[in-house]
Amino acid sequence: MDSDDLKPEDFFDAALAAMQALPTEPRARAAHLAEAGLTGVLAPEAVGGMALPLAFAVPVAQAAGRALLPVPLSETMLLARALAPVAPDLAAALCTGEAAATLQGAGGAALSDTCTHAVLETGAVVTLADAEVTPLGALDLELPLARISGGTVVARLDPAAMAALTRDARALACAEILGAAETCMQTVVDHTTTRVQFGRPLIALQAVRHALARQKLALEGLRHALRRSLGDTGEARSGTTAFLAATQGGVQVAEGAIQLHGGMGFTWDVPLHRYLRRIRRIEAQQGTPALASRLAADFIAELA
Amino acid sequence: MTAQPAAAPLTIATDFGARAAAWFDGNTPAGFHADRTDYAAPDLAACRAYEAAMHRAGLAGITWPTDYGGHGLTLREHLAMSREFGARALPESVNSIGKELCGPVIQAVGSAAQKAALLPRILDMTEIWCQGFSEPEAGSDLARLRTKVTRDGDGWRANGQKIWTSGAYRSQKCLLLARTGSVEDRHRGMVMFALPMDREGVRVNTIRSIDGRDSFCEVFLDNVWLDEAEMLGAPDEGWSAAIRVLEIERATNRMYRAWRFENELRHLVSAIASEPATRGLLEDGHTRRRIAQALTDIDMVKGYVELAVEALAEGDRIGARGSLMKLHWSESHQNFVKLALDLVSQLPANAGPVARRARARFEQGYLFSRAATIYAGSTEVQLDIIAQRILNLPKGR
Repeated sequence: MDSDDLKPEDFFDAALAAMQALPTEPRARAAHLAEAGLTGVLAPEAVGGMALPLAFAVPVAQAAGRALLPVPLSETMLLARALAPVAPDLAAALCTGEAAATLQGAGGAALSDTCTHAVLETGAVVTLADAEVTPLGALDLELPLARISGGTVVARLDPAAMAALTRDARALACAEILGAAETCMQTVVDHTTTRVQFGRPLIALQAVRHALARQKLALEGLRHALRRSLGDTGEARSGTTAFLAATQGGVQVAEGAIQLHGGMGFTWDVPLHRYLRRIRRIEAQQGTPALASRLAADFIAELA
Repeated sequence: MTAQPAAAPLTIATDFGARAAAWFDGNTPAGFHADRTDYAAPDLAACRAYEAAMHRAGLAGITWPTDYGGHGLTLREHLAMSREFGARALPESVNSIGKELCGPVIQAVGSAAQKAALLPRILDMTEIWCQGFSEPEAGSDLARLRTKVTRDGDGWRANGQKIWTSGAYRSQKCLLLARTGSVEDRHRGMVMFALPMDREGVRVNTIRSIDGRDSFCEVFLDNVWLDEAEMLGAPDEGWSAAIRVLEIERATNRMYRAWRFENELRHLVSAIASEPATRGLLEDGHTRRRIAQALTDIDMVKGYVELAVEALAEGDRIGARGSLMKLHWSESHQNFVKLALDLVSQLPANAGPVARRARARFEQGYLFSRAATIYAGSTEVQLDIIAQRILNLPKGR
């Protein structure tokens, strides 16, 4: 495929359509996403990928956030690229969907039955079949967190590769949060526009309008921060600040959407809780409080 | 709803930025930097001279046409200069109303003769401008303004009162907004003039503001003569064109503010670290989270500005997006100055000059920051704009 004619945003609709037609059988899901051309977006052509820059994975991750995709696709896309030099067969399998992989962060790994491999913080690439998996909580219903240890080491990524992987994983996590938050925003605008109380739609109340305006501010703030972090700003910290903006803004939008749905928002009858769960899971997975603390510490150290 | 973050790379005018940095470092008088211990607030004459020199060096009027004293470049160069200006604790422009509001309005609606007469004098600092919009009965609700102009021969007579007119006492010109009819006409019959402030019948009172300064003014107009040639644009048309200009201005004025915000954070942290009695505060987890929040907000405001510049440079409409940036900056900067005040208030009595300078700067900064959520459209007005014009929420009545 010629990347000159291709724009990142062109990937969004196709990705979302493929995700919404996901097979129910977990093992078939990776192959389905591979067939839609999503798993190999970043991987080199030698292992069957499209060798596109990270910007092309962003709308795919955003669609995953919208669709609450029960597969760690962002991780799979990134690992198909990262593993190509050290484990080309596995990278190729990730592109075809024969394998699917997750990446363990400071707060654990997002794990589904689709996954066959995991990359641990040490850079060890392990098989999940013989690994020890400890569930870490059930916030995310589709893609819960677990701590993975042991397992047969099939390859290793060096610290430089791990640093790049961590940085890019955070950018795609922002994009997933953006997708989830956009869905919440659309849902709450639709609800407050049609729900009638006191003889008027909720949207007629200034308290409601202002609450929605604040949610929009949070949503656009995180979109701008993400976009900036993907460009050439010359600032190393922009990936971290964008991620902090995303978790903060995403949570604000999702919690706000639940609030404005009233009692319904508190139930499983509307899916808003699933988006909030996903955003909070991503936040926990990345060890966000420590990340914020380190951001400040680095800034202080630079001045002291 | 925009679906994609569209990860287009930003175009930063790096060479122009380097040129600006070199000029600021080589030509800024001693005492101008608010983050240095030799700081002494520069007076009006010093600010005027400095800004005129900035213009001669190609760093003011960057986007203005060369025919009118400008440099004919783009917002990208203006952004590159702004990053460097913001990164240094330099004094605010004493003519930002002229450069960022009146000048662009004159360029949009003025005649060729008006442009030639007015624009170069803004840039060379011979004429400082003030903005005569708000009135006692027309603050956020500008359509209720009462200042009236009536025909008098081949000119007009103006009567009324303006308020919150920043810097009117030191201004040579006022961008006067008045009406030809009555208040019931709302937005109809609005008309703009370039009013010389030394005209008979113009009287200015200063109002002391929260930070102890006397920069705020009220302006009384008692049967003030206005020449037909002083009218900017036709009645109605001039004002509606100006509204479009002001929308862009809201997104692009004081473009340096995110970088100044960062300069303040650096100054604060350096000052707190400079004193053994307060250094430990920077190890505290709560303080660190607040610093991380400030960094996050700084980068978000940078994102708004940079992407607004990109959009305008690509010929896109900016719409009401300036409201998002204004709201985010004003509130997050207020949060930051609360942190700054908390920290400088813990500095010891025998603190050194670095810390004392920071204390003075951030006490003033804290008080002044209360204005940010009030001026240029209060927070409540911005929320209405976002609801109506960005979310396009129906009124639902």
